[in-house]
Formats: sequence, structure tokens, C-alpha cells
Amino acid sequence: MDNPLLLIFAGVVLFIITPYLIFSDKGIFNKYRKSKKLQDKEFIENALKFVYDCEYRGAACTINSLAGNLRITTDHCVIIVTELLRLNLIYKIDDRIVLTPEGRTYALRIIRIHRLWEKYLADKTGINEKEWHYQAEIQEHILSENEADELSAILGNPLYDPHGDPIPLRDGEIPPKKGIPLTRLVDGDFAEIVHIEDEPDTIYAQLTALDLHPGMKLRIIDSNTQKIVFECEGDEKILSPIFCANISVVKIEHAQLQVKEYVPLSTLEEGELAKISGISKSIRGLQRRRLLDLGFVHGSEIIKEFSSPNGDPVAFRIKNSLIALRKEQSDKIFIERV
Amino acid sequence: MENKNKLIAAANNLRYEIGENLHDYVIESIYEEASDIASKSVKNNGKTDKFNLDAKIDKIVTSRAWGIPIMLFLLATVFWLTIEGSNVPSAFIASILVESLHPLLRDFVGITLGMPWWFTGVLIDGAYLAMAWVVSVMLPPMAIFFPLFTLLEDFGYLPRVAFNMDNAFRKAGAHGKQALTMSMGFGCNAAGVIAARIIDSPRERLLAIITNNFSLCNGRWPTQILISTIFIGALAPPYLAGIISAGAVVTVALLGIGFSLLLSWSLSKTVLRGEVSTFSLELPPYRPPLFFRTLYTSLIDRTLFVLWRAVIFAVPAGVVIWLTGNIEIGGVSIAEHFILAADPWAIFFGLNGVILLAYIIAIPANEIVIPTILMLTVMATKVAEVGSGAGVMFELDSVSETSAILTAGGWTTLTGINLMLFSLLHNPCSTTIYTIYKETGSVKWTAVATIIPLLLGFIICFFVAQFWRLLS
Amino acid sequence: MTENLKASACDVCEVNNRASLKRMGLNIEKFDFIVALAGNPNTGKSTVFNALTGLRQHTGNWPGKTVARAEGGFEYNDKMFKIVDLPGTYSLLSTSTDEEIARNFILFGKPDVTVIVADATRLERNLNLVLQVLEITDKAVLCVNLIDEAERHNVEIDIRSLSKELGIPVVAASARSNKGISELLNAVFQVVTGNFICKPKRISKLSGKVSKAIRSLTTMIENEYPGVPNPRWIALRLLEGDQRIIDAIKSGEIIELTGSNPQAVV
Ligand SMILES: Nc1nc2c(ncn2[C@@H]2O[C@H](COP(=O)(O)OP(=O)(O)OP(=O)(O)O)[C@@H](O)[C@H]2O)c(=O)[nH]1
Ligand SMILES: [Mg+2]
Repeated sequence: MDNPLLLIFAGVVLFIITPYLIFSDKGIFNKYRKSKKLQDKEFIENALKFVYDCEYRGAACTINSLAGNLRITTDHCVIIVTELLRLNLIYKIDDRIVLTPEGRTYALRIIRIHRLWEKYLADKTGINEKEWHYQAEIQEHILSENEADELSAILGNPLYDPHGDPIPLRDGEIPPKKGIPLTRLVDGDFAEIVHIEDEPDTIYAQLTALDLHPGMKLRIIDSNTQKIVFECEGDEKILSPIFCANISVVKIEHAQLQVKEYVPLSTLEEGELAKISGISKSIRGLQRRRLLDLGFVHGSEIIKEFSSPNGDPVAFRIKNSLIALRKEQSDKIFIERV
Repeated sequence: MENKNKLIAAANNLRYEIGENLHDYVIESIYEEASDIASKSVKNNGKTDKFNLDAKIDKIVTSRAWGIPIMLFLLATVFWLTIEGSNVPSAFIASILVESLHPLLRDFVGITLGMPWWFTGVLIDGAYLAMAWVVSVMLPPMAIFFPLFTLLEDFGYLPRVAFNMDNAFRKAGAHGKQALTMSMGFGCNAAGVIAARIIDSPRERLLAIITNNFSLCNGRWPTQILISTIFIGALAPPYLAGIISAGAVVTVALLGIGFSLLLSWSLSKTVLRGEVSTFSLELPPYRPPLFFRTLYTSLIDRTLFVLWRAVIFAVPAGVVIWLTGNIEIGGVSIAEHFILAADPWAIFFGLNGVILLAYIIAIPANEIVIPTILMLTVMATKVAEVGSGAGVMFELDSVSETSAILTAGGWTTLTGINLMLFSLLHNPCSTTIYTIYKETGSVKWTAVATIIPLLLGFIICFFVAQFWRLLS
Repeated sequence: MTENLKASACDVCEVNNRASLKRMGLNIEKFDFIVALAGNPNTGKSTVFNALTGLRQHTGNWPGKTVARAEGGFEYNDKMFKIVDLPGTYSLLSTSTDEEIARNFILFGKPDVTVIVADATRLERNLNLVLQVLEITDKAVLCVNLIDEAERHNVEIDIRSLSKELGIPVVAASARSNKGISELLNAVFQVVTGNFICKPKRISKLSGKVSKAIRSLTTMIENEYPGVPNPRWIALRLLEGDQRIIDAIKSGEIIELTGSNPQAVV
């Protein structure tokens, strides 16, 4: 019992390995969280969301497409549809499923919570973009309407989620879709991304990996049926048309571009002077506002003064104050050398 | 009513139209205007050598070669001055409050006023002594630490610490400003927790709050200083003892910073998942502090304020200590019951029942840990000649006498080391816990911030104890 | 300097004015006027607060030292003032808590005067906030603090032209050594008593789409609440989706802002 070696071994197992197995990314705790079975309520709400989405896109919704979307058997889907009918949330025209006014309100409520939560994660937490959708899928079934209102107020009643989808107002509809698919642009066109579809996962994951965000400006270099090459915030991106169909854009004129060249602030040398030309759209929320407030606005002069012992963060002088920024941020701020 | 709603609806429609860029536009226009006005009314004479001295200082204190060493040097100097400087005044105050005044008061209340023994016990041996001890142990180090710290703060050095340490904090998934809240925590953890408001993002702010307890606060130094003098300083030749024991305390303080980073890192990987994004820290210009003004205000505002708080908490704790030592169940005092029951367990962690009980009693204020431990040890080992009886807190006038008591109580170097570690790693004091609750508004996170350090303390002590035994 | 010379110089008004300042500490039960202290972080707001009230708010040379609002009082020219030290902010347009506290106090706390403390060595950045405050309120005084630091760094500030540009009284100060505090008190007194009528500079350079939206909302607000002192600010906040403003419109609280209110009850 008092053999130290034995105790050390026991201690390692008890204090280090066990907590690791429970709490790590692939640990039991997380597995459990992710594997929780969907409840009836959740199926119903997801079904409403899907029907709403069909109507918004102008597509027809049937039991089969619904079952496909919810990833359940047709039999199971029939049960859910029956329940929805009983609750007077939908009605049927032949095979088509259509929302009743109550159903529409309900669906909008869920969508609102979903998008608000994504906005919250994007603006107020450092949670990885890949997680947003997944976490919002959980929260939308949990948050009450009042809690959603509170959240909305804290976020400054946002109108767009981080993918560029409009967030419904309480009791409100949402404005029609803006923009055209990226595939419709031709070589030499300038455009601004207004929306990035977050479903299906696989395509969305690819798009986030390319660091594309609503608000970013792009220029088509070469668009053909095989691939689309475009320049976005200084980087050249190549995507197949299937992926590009999930990006909506609006065309803009070249003169509307505030940033003509995308030189990141992080390339500045010590003692060198430059002018700010803009901040990347991937910096958003409070972070973006803070930078603007500190004077990182178009035309401000900026000098790199010194860096910390490890080279990151770096202190810049702007509007006569020293502001330290991490490299993640100075990569996303664009300058013009003078 | 109609119009109101129309107004709000109109605003919402416009908002959908404008999109997300409103803030950008507005701030840009305001800045344009601001530059205009500024260019008309600000004149810069001698633009070239402007801020030159500042720049020179910054180049040095943030340089690759000197940045970190200067930081450590300043930290060590502040601690060393505090430790060395407070020795004599502490002993002096103790000799007045404890040795001279205490018997007088005791006689006055017990004999002159003719109060019953338990009344004298609770009031004089409990409450008064606790207060006297806290004052003599805390006043001198705080009166040295706070002015030194405030001078550094007023000069503008603290944000540079945050700047230098940000890299480490970034890797731990935390915010660089956590270094600022940590620095505040060296004074008082409750103040550090409140200071975490400077961190904008909720996740990183929570990390700063939860880990603030690892900044060795003022209340815990007396423990560190005394124990390291007895058990670690004693291992070195006498002429080095002072430096070595100061070094040990600095090491514990650095360990605290290490644990802060470690815990931030593991929380970021698990329950508080997320990447850090926001970091914009303004580095203020150096401003030469007004030396005597700073000295004066930091004494009045900080030292006396914190001391007062400690006294308020110490008084009831003193009463509790006296009671546990004097209320008997089956002929044995409550304290002894607990110690006997806890001892076999505590051994695994290289601690003992006395220490555990002392930490329970000292939840309100860490300052009274040492006197409680001494009192309980005396009681448990029945060293009759010292002290003034069961449940009476006392100050021994020499370190060697304290040492003798602890050795008689079965203490070894291991016990000393583990007590220092446990003093760093245990639950925050009650004020801090309450502050955490107020700041987070969440029972869950308050519980996490309370329990994790305690668990960590037991785990670390456990491993140290086992390795110690393995190697010796 | 001879006694005579001294008597004719302006040191004397300082002495006189100082004599009529009575620091009241926490004693703020009764007051005639409310003063709000706003400004960028680390510009010396708490130092000014301490100089006026005799209290000892913590100060420190890093942005964000004050995180909660503090109140104190002083008596000047036989009038009682309550003064509120707000957390330092870079702006009033964001959603962070400290900015909300500051913004809502300046609008809904109805201070009789807002003293904006600015750092003389980085005036341009500070003016960003000054201009925002001037959108909210038309009773403000600008205190250009840290003037000693500006001198040390060879920065010179033309106080008079600044005052003309902004349309409010501007005072140069070095609060830590009590310089300029009496001038500040005087300016505050002139504004609260209505002897100095501020004509605050309002932002005029808003660009196309936004300015059109603001203009149309402003008109609606002016029609609905004639006499509201800051319709443009309310319009701007509505466009930012500020819940506090929306609630105030719904509850009718906004109407209270329209009347003149020399003695607001908070
Ligand atoms: N040289 C000089 N220093 C000053 C003056 N006024 C204030 N300071 C110093 O500037 C620092 C900041 O002062 P504070 O009063 O804490 O500033 P604050 O505006 O309250 O800051 P926050 O609470 O962080 O927003 C302190 O170290 C003061 O001692 C001044 O007139 N001259
Ligand atoms: Mg302050």
C-alpha cells in the first residue's frame, strides 16, 4: 500500500489518464454529447425548418425529400408528418407539404435562434467556424424565445448571420434572397460575397477551409465549366463549379473597391511606414469594431515599432498610440506602402 | 403606438438594406472629421525625437535577449525586497501586539473585569489574537509590496509584461491581458478577478477568472516566507539562506504562472473550447510616477484597505479556532477528532491533518493559515511549554522555535514543500469565491474555479510526495 | 515675481476658484447638478475625479483600470454637484459592456454636463470619442489632460481653436498636479448654469447610403418627438439595433429626453 511506485502508477491512472479519456476531444464526455439521440421535438422542428427552406427556395417538399433531409426512414417520416398535421403546423396539397401560418411562425422562430446562435459564436467566442452550425443545431431546440430575444439584444439585434443569411426579426419574415451564384460571373467581373451556404457539411467545410466570408470582394480570373479561378483578398482560389454554386455574390464596379491591393500589415518591416487600406471581412464583430475604434481605418498612417521577445505580438504606432496585435490579426489588415 | 412601431420597422428595413457595413462607414467618417480638427489645432514641435526615450526603453524591455530576464528580475526584486524588508517590522509589531499587549488584555478582561474563562478565551485568545496576528504578518509585506507594485504600474510597465507574455498565453488559448489580471492577483485575487473585465471575449475572460487564484496573493506570502525560511533556507549555508528562501518563494510564484497557463490550456482544449482571436492591447506611454504621492496613496488606499478586509475576516475565524480547540466531545476537542481522522489520508499527499484543518478554518482569509497550523500542532503534539493553552494562536518570536515545534509535530522537508505547494494550489478565499460568483453570475463556473485548484493541489502534492519517498 | 504681479496674473482666479471648491467625497445625497466623466481609457478620468471629490479612486497607467462606475460629490460656488466616473472607452458605438454603461449614462442618466477627458498626446484618437459624445449631448466640456506629458513630448495644442471647432469649452489640464482644475470647474459651472451655450460640432461627413438612411430616420424621429436634442444619434443607434433605444421608444422614455431637464432624477 505504501510502495511509492505503485502509488505513482495508480495516481497517473486516476488523475491523468482517466480525466483525459473523459474530457478530451475524442473522450467519452464529447462522444456522449454528440451521440445523443434526437428527440421527437427536435425532429418536428427540423422538419419545419426544412419545409420552410423548400418554400424559401421555391422548391417542392415531399415526404421523400423530407426523410432524406432528416436522414430517417420514410416510415419514421410519415409518423412525424402525421404529428405535424395533427398540430396544424402543415397541410398537404397532393404530395406536397406546405406550412400553415402557425407552422411558418414556428419555423422562423427556430431559424432565428439558429442564426442568432451562429452569430453569437462568431462574434463573441473563439469557437472554430466548423463548429458553429453543429452547435446551433443543438441550441435551436433548447433556447426559449425570450432567451433568444436577450441574446439578440446583447448582439445588437443583428440582421445577418455569419454566412450572410438574414436573421428573422421576432414575429417577422425575412427578406428575399440577394445575389446570384458565383458560377454566373464571367472573367474580369468584380463581386462581393453575400452568402455562403452552410449545407451540406462537406462543401461548407471546403469553403471555410478557403477562408471565404460574406463581405469579401473578389475578381474572376478564369471561369469555365471545369473550374473557377478567382482572386479574393489577395489570394488566388480555385474551386469547381459545384462548390461555387454554394456561394452567392452581387456584382460591383471596380471603382467601389476600397482596397485595391491586398498587402497584409504583417509584412511591414520594423520602422517602416504605411497606410491602412482596409480590414478583412473575416475579422468581424467586436474585434472588428475595436480595431476601427483604435484608428485602423482607411488612410491611417501606421508604423511597426517593435515586437515581443518571440516576435508575436507586434506593437504598431497608429494615431500616435502603440497598439499590440497578434499575427492572426495583422495578417488580416491590409496596407499600402508609402 | 402606431408611429413608434412604424419607426422601428422603418429602421429595420433600412438595416437590411445597409447590411453589415454601417459601423465601418460611421467610424471612418468620424475619423475623417477628427483628423481635420486635430490637424488644425495640434502642433508638433520637434517631431523627430518625439517619444524617443519611450522607444528606447521599449526596445530593451521587450527585446528577445532582455525582455524575459528583466521581467523575472523585477519580479524577484519585488519579492526579495518584500521578504527581507518585512522581517524586522513584522517581529516588532508582533512583539507589541502579541507578546506585550495580549497578556495585558487577557488579565484585564479575565481578572480586572472578572469575566468567565470562556469569554476571555473567545474574545482575547480567539478574536483579538487572530487580528493581531494578521496585522503583524500582513501589514509590513503589504506596505512594501503595494508601493513597489504601484510604482511599476504608474510607470507603465505592466502592459509590457502582458505584451511579452502574450505568446505563452496565446498558446494556452488565453488572452494576453490575462497577464495584467494576474499581476493584479499578486496583490489580491478578488481584485484580479474584477480586473478580468478588461478582457472582452467571454471565454477568455472566464479563463482569466478561473486561473487568477494561481497568482500567489498577499495573504499567502507569510506562509510561503515562513515555511521556506524554515525548511528550505535551512538547507543552505546561513549567509545564503535569505536569498535561497526568497528564491524558493519566487519559484512557487512562477509555478503559479505555469499552472495558470497549463489550466488555461487544458480548459481551452476541453470544456472552454475555442481559439483565441481578439487581442488588441494598447501600450500606454511611460509616465514618470510622482514618487512620494504614489507611496502615500498606495499605503492609504491599498494597504490599509486590504488589511482592513483581512482583519474583518480574521476575527470570526479566530473565534472558530478557539472553539474547535476547546469544545470537547468525549474528552477530545473537535480539532483533535478531525486531525486524528484526517492524518492517515493526508500522509498520502505529504501533508497532515493539521494542515488540512487549518485550510478549512482559513477559508475566509488565507492569512491565518500559519498561526492556525502552529496552534493545532501544539495541541496535537501536546508540547506543553510553548503557547498559552489550547486553541490560542500565538506568534513565536524566533524562527528556530517555530521550527522546533513543527519538527516535534512530525514535519519534514517534504511537509514543508508540500505546504508551500498546497498554499499555492487550493481553493480561493471566500471573498474571491464570492467575487467570482458576482462576476460570472454562474454557480457552475464558481464551483469550477473553487474545486479545480483544490484538486490540482492534492494531485500535485500526491505526486511530489510519492516521488520524494521513492528517491529518499 | 512681486506680490503685485501675482495679484494681477491669473493665478489669483485659480486661488479664488479653488477656495470655493469643497470636496464632498461620498456625500452626494443632495445635488443640484450631475456631471459625467467620459473619455478614452487611461486619459486621467479617475485622476480628475479624485481631484474634484477628494476621493481615492484607483488610478494606474494602463487602459482599463476603472471597470465600474464610481460616484462622488463636490460643492462649487454654493452649488452641489454629483460626479460620475465612467469606465474608459474608445468609442460609444459597440456592444461591449463598458461602452454600454458609458453610452446609456450620457443619454439616459441625463447629466447636466459631460466632461470628456482627453489625452493631449493622442488627441486625434480621442476626438473620435469626443465627436460621438457631442452627437448625444449638447452640454459638454473637453478637458485636454496630460498637458505636461504633451509638453514633454513637444506637442502643442491650440485650445482656443479646438474650442471654436468643437463648439464647447475646452480646458487644458494636468490633473495629477491639480493644474487646470479650477478652469475646468469654471467651465463646468458656465455650462450647467447656461452661461455658456454649447453649439456642438456634429458629424457631417457621413457617406452616401448611410447618410440617406440616417436622414430619413431622423426626419421621422423629429416628427414624432419634436424637441428631442439628438435625433440623429437616436437614428444611428436604431440602425445599429441598440436594444436600449428600441425599448426607450417602445416605453415612451424617449419623450422624457425632449423637455429641458435641469434637475433630472436618476
Ligand atoms: N503626467 C501626468 N500623469 C497623469 C495625469 N493625469 C493622470 N495621470 C496618470 O495617468 C495614469 C492614468 O490615470 P487614470 O486616472 O487612472 O486614468 P483613467 O482615465 O481613469 O483610466 P481608465 O480607468 O483606465 O479609463 C495614472 O498613472 C495617472 O497617475 C497628468 O495630468 N499628468
Ligand atoms: Mg479610471
